[in-house]
Amino acid sequence: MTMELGRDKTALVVVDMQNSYCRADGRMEKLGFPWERLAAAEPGCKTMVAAAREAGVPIIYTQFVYQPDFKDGGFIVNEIMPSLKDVGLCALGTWDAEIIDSLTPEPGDTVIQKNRPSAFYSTQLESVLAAMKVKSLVFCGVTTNMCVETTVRDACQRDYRCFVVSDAVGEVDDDRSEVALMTMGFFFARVLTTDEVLDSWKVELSNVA
Amino acid sequence: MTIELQKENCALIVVDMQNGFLDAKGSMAQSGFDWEKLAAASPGVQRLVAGARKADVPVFWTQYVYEPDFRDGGVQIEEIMPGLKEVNLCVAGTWDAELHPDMKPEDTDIIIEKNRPSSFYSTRLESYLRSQGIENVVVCGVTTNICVETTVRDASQRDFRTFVVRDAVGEVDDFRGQTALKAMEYLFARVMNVNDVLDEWGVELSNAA
Repeated sequence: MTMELGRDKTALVVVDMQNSYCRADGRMEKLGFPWERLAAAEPGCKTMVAAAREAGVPIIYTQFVYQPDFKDGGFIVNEIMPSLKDVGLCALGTWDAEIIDSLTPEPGDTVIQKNRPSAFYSTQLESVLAAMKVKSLVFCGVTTNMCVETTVRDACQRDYRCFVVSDAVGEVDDDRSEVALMTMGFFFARVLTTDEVLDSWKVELSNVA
Repeated sequence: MTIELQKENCALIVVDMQNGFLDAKGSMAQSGFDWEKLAAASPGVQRLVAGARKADVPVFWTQYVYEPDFRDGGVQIEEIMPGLKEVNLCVAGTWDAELHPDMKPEDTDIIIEKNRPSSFYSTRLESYLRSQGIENVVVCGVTTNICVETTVRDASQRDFRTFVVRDAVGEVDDFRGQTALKAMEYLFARVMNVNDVLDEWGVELSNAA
């Protein structure tokens, strides 16, 4: 049995496609992470955004943002990865926290700011989805094993039908990337390619046309 | 920098150590999963529980339980893994859903029933932890990559100082098991051995109790 994707009651979620992660002078690069591997998600995300606009599928962007003094960083920032604070990762009001130019949200899109890996925890995402009566979510963005996967786990157990676009996500390690897609496909989502999503949405589009 | 485990304001969370996962006749075994890899978590879990008793650390047991007609199964049961319904995974009131006989909850322990991978989502766990002033959680049980990891991700981003015990967890697939520990260590938890936990709690067990 295959979980089918359509465009009705569906939204595209673009996770954390920010300068910090996807640009050479972003803060992730200062921590020594290979930003190119995250920027590799950019073409796929651009395709997904363009397709969603054409299909009339609403677009939701998530944006990782910390207070400049990181008082909202908590256990993850203070104890697990204090270096995030040292480099000022995604600090509010900085270029680092902005969504990359090629994916700048348009009027009518929704931007959800978050300060934890899950876009559901302590954010407005769930109320926005409920108000829009969305039941299915298509995910792209970064990073596959961290914010994408944590958000997908949360979405699925809240009974959203989840689809992850394998060629529109990015991760810095091969093994974590591979297992993230395997895990999401195992119990939390259906893993698709951009072409497969385009096919699903084209069918819907041609029906309308 | 080491994230120190304290026994003050600490709780042990034992995830899903049930017949359905750990026994040769359980529903996971019937689904073709390698139950022995899950049962392998049992000795470590038993030592942690014994240590927690000695250290006066409260023990929370989670228990995966579905309604007999699976009306509470949602997307995961209906669309992702319908086979779980056919083997009657962890149905309320059945032997499959009971904690394994090697697990010995005491009357004062809290048992948290859940029907989603996270022990936090839609359960009473967080209110119990907060009301007892718990700030540190040690997590063990099964399966490493699914219910343990989803629970750990949720605990960490709720700012519980989170510890996972690598020799007291189990997963049916080695690659997913190992990489799950790596992902948790990366951003969500400190990964420890049972002996490290006992040392930092300041307890010694006689005869590998």
